[in-house]
Amino acid sequence: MANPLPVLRGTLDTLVLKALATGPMHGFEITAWLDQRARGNLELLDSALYQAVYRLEARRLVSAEWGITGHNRRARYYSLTTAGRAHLRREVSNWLRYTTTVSGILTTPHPA
Amino acid sequence: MLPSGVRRLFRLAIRRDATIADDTDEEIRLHFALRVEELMARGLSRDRAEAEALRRFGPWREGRAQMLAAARQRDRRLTMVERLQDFWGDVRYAIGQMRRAPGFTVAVVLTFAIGIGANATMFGVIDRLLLRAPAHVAEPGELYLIKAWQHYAGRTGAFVNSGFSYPAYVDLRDRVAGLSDVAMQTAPNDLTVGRGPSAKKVRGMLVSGNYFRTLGVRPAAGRLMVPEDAALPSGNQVIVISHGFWQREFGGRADAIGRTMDFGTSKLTIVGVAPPGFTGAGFRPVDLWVPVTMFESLGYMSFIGKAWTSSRGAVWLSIVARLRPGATIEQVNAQATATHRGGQMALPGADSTATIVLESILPLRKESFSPEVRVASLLGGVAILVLLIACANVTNLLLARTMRRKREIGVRLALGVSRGRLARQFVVESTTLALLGAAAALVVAYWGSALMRGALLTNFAWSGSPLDGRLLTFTAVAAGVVGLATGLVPALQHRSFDLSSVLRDSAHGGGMSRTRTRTALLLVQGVLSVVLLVGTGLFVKSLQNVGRIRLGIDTERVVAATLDLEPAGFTSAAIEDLYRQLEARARTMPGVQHATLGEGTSFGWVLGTKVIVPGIDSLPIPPGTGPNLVGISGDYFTTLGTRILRGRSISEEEIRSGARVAVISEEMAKRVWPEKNALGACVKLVADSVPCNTVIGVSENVHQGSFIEEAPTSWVFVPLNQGRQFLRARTLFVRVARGPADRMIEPVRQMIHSTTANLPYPDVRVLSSHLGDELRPWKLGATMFGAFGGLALVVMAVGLYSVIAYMVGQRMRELGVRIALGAAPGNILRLILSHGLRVAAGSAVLGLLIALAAGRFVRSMLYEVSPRDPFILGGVAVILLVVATLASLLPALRATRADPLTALRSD
Repeated sequence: MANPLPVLRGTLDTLVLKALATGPMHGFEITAWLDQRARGNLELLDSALYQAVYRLEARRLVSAEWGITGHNRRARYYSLTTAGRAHLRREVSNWLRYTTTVSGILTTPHPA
Repeated sequence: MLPSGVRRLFRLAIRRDATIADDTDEEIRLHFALRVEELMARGLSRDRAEAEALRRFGPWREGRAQMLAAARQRDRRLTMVERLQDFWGDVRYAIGQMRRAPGFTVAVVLTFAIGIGANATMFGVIDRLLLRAPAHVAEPGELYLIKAWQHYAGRTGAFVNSGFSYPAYVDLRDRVAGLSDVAMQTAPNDLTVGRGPSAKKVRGMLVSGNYFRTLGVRPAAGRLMVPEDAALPSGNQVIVISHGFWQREFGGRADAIGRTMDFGTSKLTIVGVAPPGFTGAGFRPVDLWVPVTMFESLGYMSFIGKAWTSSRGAVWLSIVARLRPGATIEQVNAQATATHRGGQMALPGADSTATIVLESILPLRKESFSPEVRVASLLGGVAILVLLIACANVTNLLLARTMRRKREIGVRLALGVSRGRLARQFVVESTTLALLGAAAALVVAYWGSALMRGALLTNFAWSGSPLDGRLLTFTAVAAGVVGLATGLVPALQHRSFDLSSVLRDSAHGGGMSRTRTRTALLLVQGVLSVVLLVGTGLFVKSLQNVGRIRLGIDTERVVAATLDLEPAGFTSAAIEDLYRQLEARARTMPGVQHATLGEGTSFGWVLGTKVIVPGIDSLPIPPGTGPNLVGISGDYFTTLGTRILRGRSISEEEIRSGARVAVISEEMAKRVWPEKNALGACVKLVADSVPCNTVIGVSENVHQGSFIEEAPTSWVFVPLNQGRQFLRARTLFVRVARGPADRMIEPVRQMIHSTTANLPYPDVRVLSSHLGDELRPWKLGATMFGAFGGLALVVMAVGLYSVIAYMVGQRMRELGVRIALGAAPGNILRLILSHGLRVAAGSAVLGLLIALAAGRFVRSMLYEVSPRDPFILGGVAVILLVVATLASLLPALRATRADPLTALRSD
């Protein structure tokens, strides 16, 4: 397996939003959701992920509420706000445009 | 509205720091537990799982600290945003309410505009008059005006005097160790510049060369004066001009420096411009500064002449000085007193007991305040009364609206909006209204300041816009305070709302206690209005009394014209010839009834002279009240309107031939010949050796300059030219046949210029204009008190109207029943009117009591009117009752039309 890639701060925020787009989660659920999909390719520090969540909360893209987990433990549940949902849409479309453009350039065949 | 109210119910409590840490740690703990569980489920041992969880978390200490920081910042931002949103919601709600009731909004905003505007205007004036140091003076707190407490022969008590002679100035400058810089100045005086029709008058100060250095001023352009510029004997022919003069006359162009200006026969070169708004150590308007060495060639106080550097008897300058570091005022006072007394020994008959005292140039630290400042301060207090009235009125209007909004408030309470939030809502509403009022108040302040500056306080160097940063700050603070104050009453009132009764009740009925609060507020307004109206009455009466003083001269109908001819190089013969021509030509001018010449005038300067009466050793005339000598030409008394009480006036023939005759004033006749008739008596002018002037007439008393004086002045009138060696300044007097005298000013000026080319600027003005300075405090008081009193009355009338109208609205059903039961319209009318009149009568009684008690504070500012004048007090009571009747009449008439059928049908 190749070495995991570091994740940029802005990208991490978008990933968290994406995770929450599926429904409210607590912190560990978010990391688990992302780990499962990154398949070890991304280097994610858990403490950085929580900070990302707090930042999103401060920007009112995410709201938080204390709740109870399936195993009867108290956890802080995060969910997307309307503004967060809109923000995610914008970020995803930007990201796609960006990567398509950059990959398009990078994969241009060299003249023989 | 509803969602925001409900949402606020679930508002999170404000997080304290510890809670944030606890929450974050709890999150970390859960995260670790779940991570370890997950890893162990994948087959790791507990130890390995824990190590792996830690690795994934990141550096432990740092990671946690960063999370905590992020959490804290999140909380700060969220609470701030929440508060802002709440506040913004309140403001939006308030604006919505205001738009729903435009009439109410306009009434409140206007009331606030009046109240805050009056205060902003007075603050602007008092700020300039009292609170600011003279502009551009370095360390103004260290600069002092030197004054002398003196005793005068024949008068008891000490008098403070800021006038000194030049030798006395030199003594203090050179021989007082505790003073570092000692400069001299004259008051701003009228000087004439140029010749012919383009000649003009400027206000100039004569100053010593170290004047600008002493004040610590830097030039706006060019250079300021230096000691050599005013070094004896002749100094340099230079002037420094004020920034305003530079802008006005030269458009602020740089080439103004180096230009020359003609003063008399001298050409002075402009060397520099003072900084904008600089007026020296005082606040009077000034255009330019001239080295004191130009004294003689400017013709300044021409009777002193060459003696200006040596005469100790001629007192014409004032002194500003700076303390040397380390010196105390007490030391300097003692040193200066010794120096001054030593120097004055050279002057025979001088006061050897004079005491020198230093007085700060800062207005607030002065020993005594000018009448203008005292009246302005009083008016500042009055403005606060106006604001209180406005606040009472607005509170009243807000209360009335709270009644109308009872339903809505009840619903909000039922939905769980806390009473605290509701109270905040009220305060936000009243503050928003107050801020709108403050914006309108700036317009009021702008016009008010223009009135104060242009018409009432003209002898003050105003500069810059009245709406400066300090005034804006004051206005904003005032708006905040009154917004809070007026919102609090309704906010506290609704606390007593009983929710169930509110929801059960219909929109009307109940609220008797609130009507009582409103009546009490009306009473406060009424009482304050009465106090203001009494003040208005007292000042108007004072102004009338001052205006009615018989001055011995018809100041309103006489135009006086004078020219500074001597410094312009005219010989005595040419001067005499010119004035003769002017007199002759003036007499033929259309619209002129009489014209005459005088040497020395009642307004302007006069010369006290020595008069000897054979057989009387020293004349029983108090010092400072004459006798003054005036040389006159024919028609003098008829032109000025001075009545001859006994004997006759001096004839044309006697004047032409220089006959040895004299007319004396009544005061002199009474003092010198108390027992017998003065007619036929002999008076000798100046010396015993000259022949007698026989008294041929006695005139009524004539005031000298200041008309509010302790004792009338004694006068001796003699044919023109007999006092020539002393009196060189002549004045042409023109009596206007009809209409306002100021319409003759321009024709007289043209006539003068058409007589001879190249004349200096003729000072032409109606005699009454000399009285402006003295009338100013009363004019100021009467105008502003009148304005404030009038506004208070209007506000009070509107308040009364609204309360009574509201009351009638509330009782419409009851009134209908009464009419149905046979009450006559007269009875209904009486019922409603009596309510308004009871408030008015109560206000009148309380207000008059307060006015009586406060009377002694204004007594010193009044002229010959008692603060307990029964006509004024009675008049105010009548005015208040009349206004109250009118304000109650409209709603009362509506009450008589209450329809019994509607009343009975309604539930």
